[in-house]
Amino acid sequence: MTVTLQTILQKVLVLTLLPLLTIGYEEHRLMHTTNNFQTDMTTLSIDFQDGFDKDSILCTVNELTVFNKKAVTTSKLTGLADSINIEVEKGKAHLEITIVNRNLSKLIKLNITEESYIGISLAGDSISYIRSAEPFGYG
Amino acid sequence: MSRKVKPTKNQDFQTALTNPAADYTLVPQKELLKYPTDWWQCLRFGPVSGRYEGEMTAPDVGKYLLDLRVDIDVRHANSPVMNRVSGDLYQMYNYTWGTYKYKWRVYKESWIIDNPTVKWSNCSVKITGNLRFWTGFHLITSAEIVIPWSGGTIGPATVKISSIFSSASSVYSCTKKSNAFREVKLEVDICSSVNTAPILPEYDTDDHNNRPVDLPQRVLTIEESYQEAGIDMTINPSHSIIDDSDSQFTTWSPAELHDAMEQYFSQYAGTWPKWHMWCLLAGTFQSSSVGGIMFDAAAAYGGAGDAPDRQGCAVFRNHSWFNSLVQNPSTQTQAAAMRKYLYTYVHEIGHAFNFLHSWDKSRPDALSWMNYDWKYDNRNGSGTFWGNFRMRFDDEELIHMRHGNRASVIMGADPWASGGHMEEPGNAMSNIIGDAPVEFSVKSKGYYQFMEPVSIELRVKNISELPLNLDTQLHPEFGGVVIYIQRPDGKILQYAPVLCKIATPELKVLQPLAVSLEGNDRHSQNVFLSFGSDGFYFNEPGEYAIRAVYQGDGSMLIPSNLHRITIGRPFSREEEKTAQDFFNNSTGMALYLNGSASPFLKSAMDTLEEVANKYEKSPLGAQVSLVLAKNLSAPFYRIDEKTKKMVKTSDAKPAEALSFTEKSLNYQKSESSTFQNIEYHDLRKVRTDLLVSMGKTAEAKNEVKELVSDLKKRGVNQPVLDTIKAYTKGL
Repeated sequence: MTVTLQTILQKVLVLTLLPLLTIGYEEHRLMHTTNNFQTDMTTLSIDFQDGFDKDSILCTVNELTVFNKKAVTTSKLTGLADSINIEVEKGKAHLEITIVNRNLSKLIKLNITEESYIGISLAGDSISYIRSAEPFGYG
Repeated sequence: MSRKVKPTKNQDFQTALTNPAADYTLVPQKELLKYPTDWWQCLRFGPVSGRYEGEMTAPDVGKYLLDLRVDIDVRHANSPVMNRVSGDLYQMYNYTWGTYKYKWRVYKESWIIDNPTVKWSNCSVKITGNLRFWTGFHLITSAEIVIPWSGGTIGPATVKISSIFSSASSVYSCTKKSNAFREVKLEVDICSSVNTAPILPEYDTDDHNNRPVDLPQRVLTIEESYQEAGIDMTINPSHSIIDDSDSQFTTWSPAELHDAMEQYFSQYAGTWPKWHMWCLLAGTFQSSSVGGIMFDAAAAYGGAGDAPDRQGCAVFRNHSWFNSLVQNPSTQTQAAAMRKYLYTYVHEIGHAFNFLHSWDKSRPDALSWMNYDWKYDNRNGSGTFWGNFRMRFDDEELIHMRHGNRASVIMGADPWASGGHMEEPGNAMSNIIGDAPVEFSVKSKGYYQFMEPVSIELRVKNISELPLNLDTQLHPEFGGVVIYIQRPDGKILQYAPVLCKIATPELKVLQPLAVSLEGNDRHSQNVFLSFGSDGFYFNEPGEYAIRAVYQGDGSMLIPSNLHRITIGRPFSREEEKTAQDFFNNSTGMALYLNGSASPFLKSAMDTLEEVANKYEKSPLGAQVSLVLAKNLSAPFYRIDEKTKKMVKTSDAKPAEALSFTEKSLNYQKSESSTFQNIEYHDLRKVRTDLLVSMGKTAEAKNEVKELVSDLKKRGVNQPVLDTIKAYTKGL
């Protein structure tokens, strides 16, 4: 099968422009950052753990929305409410958690050098977090 | 290594006998000659602690049975003593028919003695203390328990229970059954995708270096971990293999796990609660970070939401915890994986005993199977959990597991994360053990729309080999059946009917199934439960539990299954507003009486008519329409205030009544679960009678014909269909 220069250019255009047209610039940036082909990228896992009860959670990393969900509730059986895994650039990162319905917010400044696991919990009127180099497990 | 115990003086001799660390190997020495020649009579080759069981010996011989748990000395290596005594009381029943004898027991209540006084003597131990009952109101009650031993044999224990203000004591003679406090049977099934060794954990406590320095070396399995906790757990050696090879099927949800349990757990059918549980070794949970789950809990807690709770759990072999899991660990990573494998099994089974996580019990620093290592480490420093964990439950958990209220511990009883029964009436949590000749059951359609009248079907069934003559008046109004309702807030109420009827028992011979058609062995009756003397029982959305107890003519006590129903939420603000008018005593009474033309209930009947019209196309409308139809199907008489004579104040209105039943029938045709079999029978019967009263015999016969055809499709037994057909002949 002959692959012409025109075909290649068409494919490049489709692959770069189509996502921008369909999903918006911000999401495209995030998708781009999730391609772990660059060595300066690593995984950040965020688990929403104790204390959530039908809460609306907005979570941003470096001002990009990575999680926006309503009615997040902790399973008492496991101590886990929800979780996300994102690919981020190594280095300093700002993780901001907002519990919209409770008017609570917390900015967590991270220095990410390797795979990181963050557990977010809610106790009364405060958001707390723990950080681990290993995945959290639940049972 | 065997250590010899050499008693040198009386006190030391006793210490030797009761020393938990001793191996009780006594070698006669010269010093022993100082003792009486019958010294051997006070030898004891094991612990006093464990489970005892025995019947009442006074004042009513054999009327009650006591399951006694004594926890005052070491019963097993690495098993802490909790210094508690507890008991479960059962009432005994016997039924004799010729040479056939049936014997069963019904659980009544549980109690505990906290920190009893223990006095050891040479040949016995005397334990005294006050009983703390978990449920109901009791006068101050104390117990005196004497456990003798002789020639190596321990017991029987004589238990004397006395109540203040009462000179008579209850006395039991209990023989020792086990060194453990409870016995549980575990069934483990395996998904084909993870059917590789090791299926079950086996961990040498010396294998991982991060452990308490003085942690006794031993090999821990699930059974041994629970034996140390005081539970004699046996695992069924045969495991079913569940085919999960479908490439589209990648992860398990709680509902799928529950469904698998229903299909594969050999003990799933039958009466619950019982000391059985099921565990599935599966691939991956829907949240891949979950290594195990006790899935059998309310949906609000993340469980399957299919009661009864606490029957099953799962361990997920593909979790990253178990990446390095091998049969015989030889590296630290492999040892950590095996230790975590054991932890996960023990932890999930622990949930089935009604344990919450440690931090949910305000004990985040507990060194317990029920804590998370990373949560503990986050508070106390990296690696500190395993560095200090002694592979055990904490004291509070051990007390609950060994001595807690039976309903709160046994699988399939109290919902997970609950257990408060301080206000429950007696018998509410009773369940049957043994061979009763009669089965009593509760069933219903399970889900009811908000405000929809709740009716349950009670069924008494002969399960013996002989014909039984039983009272078939199953409505609580007659006093032979008691019904308990547990509301969503956990409070248990005894259903109080508005009317109490005195009537002769309606005796009916129920044939044994072996010699009769299915149907002749049972009798069913519908009972309206929405309203009683206490008002409306189901006026809040949520899950309710119902248990009925059949007392028949008074000679037996047969508790039913625990039946759960759900009351839906109001769909709109308008429905909430209607509920304000609906949930009042007048409307409740009108529903209870199947309508009334009394002027005292006129506004209630207006409310019902409004509800029937407004919710015509819903189960609520269909049910209320039937009540309105019944009200119009008969004339109403009341005492005339002037003449003081009964006079007719309203005629029967069969045509109007029929139009109301039409609404019910139409909805039933669109939603066949609206009326259960007996209610549907009732609806058609009302229509048949109305048609007959209007002289439309042919249409009435057709009504019966359709009823028989519909019930046949629903699988109703032939004897019932024959009875209905016979009715046609009389038309």
